[in-house]
Amino acid sequence: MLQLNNITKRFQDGERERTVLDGLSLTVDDGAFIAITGESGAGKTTLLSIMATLLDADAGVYTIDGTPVASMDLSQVRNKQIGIVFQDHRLLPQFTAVQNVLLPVLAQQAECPKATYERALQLMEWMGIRALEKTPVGVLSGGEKTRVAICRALINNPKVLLADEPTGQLDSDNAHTIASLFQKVNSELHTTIVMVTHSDAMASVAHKVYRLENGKLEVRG
Amino acid sequence: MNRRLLIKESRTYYQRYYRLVALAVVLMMMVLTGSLVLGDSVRGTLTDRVSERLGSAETIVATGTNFMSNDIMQSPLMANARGYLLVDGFLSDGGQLIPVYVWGTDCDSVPYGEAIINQPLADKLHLDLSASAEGWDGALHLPSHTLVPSGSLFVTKSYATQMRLHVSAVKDVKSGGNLLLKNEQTLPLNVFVNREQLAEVMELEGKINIIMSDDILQEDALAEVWTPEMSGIHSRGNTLTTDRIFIQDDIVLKLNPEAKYFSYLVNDIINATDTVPYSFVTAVTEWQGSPLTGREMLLSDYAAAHLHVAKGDSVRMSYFLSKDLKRLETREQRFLVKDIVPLEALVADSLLQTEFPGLSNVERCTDWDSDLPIHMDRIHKEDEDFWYKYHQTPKALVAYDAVSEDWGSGFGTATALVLSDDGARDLTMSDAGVMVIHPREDGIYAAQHGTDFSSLFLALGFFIILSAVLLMQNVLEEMYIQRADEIGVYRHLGYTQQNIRGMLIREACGVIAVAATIGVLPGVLYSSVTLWLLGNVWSGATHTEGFALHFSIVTVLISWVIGIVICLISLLYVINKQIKQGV
Repeated sequence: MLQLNNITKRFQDGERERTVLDGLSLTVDDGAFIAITGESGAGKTTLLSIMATLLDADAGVYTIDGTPVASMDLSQVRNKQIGIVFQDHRLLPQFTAVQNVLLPVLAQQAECPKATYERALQLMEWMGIRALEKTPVGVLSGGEKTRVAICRALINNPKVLLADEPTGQLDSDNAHTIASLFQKVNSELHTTIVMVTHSDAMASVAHKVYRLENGKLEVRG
Repeated sequence: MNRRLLIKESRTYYQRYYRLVALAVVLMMMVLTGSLVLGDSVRGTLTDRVSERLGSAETIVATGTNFMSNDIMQSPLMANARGYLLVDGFLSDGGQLIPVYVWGTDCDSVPYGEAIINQPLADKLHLDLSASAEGWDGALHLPSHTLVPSGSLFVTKSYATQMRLHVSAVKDVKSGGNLLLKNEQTLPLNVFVNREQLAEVMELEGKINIIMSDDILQEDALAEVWTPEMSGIHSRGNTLTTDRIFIQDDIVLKLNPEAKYFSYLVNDIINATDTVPYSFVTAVTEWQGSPLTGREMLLSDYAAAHLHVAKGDSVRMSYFLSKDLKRLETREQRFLVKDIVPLEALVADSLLQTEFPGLSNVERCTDWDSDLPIHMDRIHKEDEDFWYKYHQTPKALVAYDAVSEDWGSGFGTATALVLSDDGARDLTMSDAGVMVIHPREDGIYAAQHGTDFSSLFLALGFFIILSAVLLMQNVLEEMYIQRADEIGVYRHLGYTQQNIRGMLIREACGVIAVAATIGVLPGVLYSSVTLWLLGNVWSGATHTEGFALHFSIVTVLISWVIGIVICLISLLYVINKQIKQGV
């Protein structure tokens, strides 16, 4: 379970300070699939970055399964407990699809076990991109890249999958497919998903939708 | 799949950057290795030169400006030694005088009238003796080199002796053709001639001035066989004279003699209008048990008669003063005639008869051969008669202390000593100027510790090395800026900073290591080209006959390690800077 209590985050905007998150609280139960929507600049990505431990909150407490993140080894948290899918995929162009998928594995060990490699192939099979195993990611389409990014986020079997506008650069057909895949991940792998999106269609596949406005979350559905 | 594969894939993908990095490393290694190999080569060549110029000699016994009797070579200690009479000379070649070292040697079986030259001199003379069975004829010009040091007062420098010779062979380096005692890097021009012939021409019969031994001779051992007589210091009874005429002051002080004699050619002894020109006068501390002090003079009856003076009168004496090596001044002193002594008594005292070459050995005053400005028109018949009969017998004795400061010089402060006993036994080889040198050790030390060409060329190449390092840093920095997102992704995926730094270092190190290894080859080429330039185009600056390429694997390894360390420091600096900037 992820818990954010009274999280506050401010940014310096020229001479004035802008409060992006203002005492925000959120509880994400295990197995939940929530979507966070909001206007551009509302702080969605900031919230996701704090949840991904990539950004520190100015105030408030963030816990995972009751343990404050501040007291945890962040590299371990990012590697084992959290998977992240970025809007721009952030795949490394020098590697093939499967190599990108296996990158998180090699953060903790120098050699990738064969079983893990097999798991990567299974995930790719599951995502419908098995045939792209040895394809350089530079030649993949947007949808394929998003699927590779999802596989990479899932390879270490994380507790939570954080997705930042995962369909932001996709056409509607691809967006629909990705939305289905997220549902599949949540229902079949029981992975908790927190998805930031400005797309109502994408948000509709979540179990619960929050809207971020004035630094606080409001439940929308 | 493993991290090594990721590193390899990244290196391949970013090869356009790494090619430039490799180029910078190769450039840096070229200068670095080249400079160190240059230092090795210069040191190696100079060390080789030491062996060439010393041949097999481990010990050199040098006599300085003195000479030594060849008798010392009869000692068993000299079983593996060669005695040389070494003088500077000039070889005439079609009007051109080539300065050469002339080695009078008993070795090499050089017959009378023949000579052997070394290869550099043969090259200088454009002489190919293998093609010319007749050899080559030339003349050797030898400077004045009597037993009396050149530059002493009364000794002319105008002596020049010529020696005809027939060059019959060339002595190569291995046979000791390039013998040279000076610690110089230029190849010597050597002429080897028969020692006896050279000694005869230079009036140095039975003398040598250099001994080269293949054994390491200790000074103590040599002192056992050396006698003052061998160095021309003659001790008869309680008297001491030397072939050099002048007895050096340190010997005089050491022996603390009972009496000191200093014979000198004075210009005039004068009483009013009467003058006795150009007379030998001896300064003595005492004579026949009677001390001479102050301004006292014992005048011969011959001079007293010519000057019309009696005991108790005073006379003036003028003489040349040479304080600045033959830049002459004239000084005059007045002396009180303490007594008139018979000329025959002066003739009978051999210590008063100092034989100056060019003066004593001629029959007439007008035949005197001296650099002194002697006005022959002042010499009359009675003076010639005196000279014919008595030669250098002094016409007067004066107090030693009155003139010793004027007459003394660096060559000596006495011409004869009377000792209290056989004090000459206290003389050592070094008193006589004999030095025992172990030149190989000194020569190799000098070769190894001379101008450090490694540092010199490293300094000259510093800006190339700096440019290469900056080029490498800029390229790496640009690459890491391009890969900022990638480094961010690694962090998002749980890679620690240490992991990321390690991967980036390994990625670049592979390129650096290979480039550094490749860079050794152009480094050796760089040093070869520089050595060629030093030996040819820049030979005037180095004053050498060129250098040969020498390098050790240790030097190459050192330069490789230094290059790698410089690259690693630069690499770490760039990586840490990028990571600190929050990449």
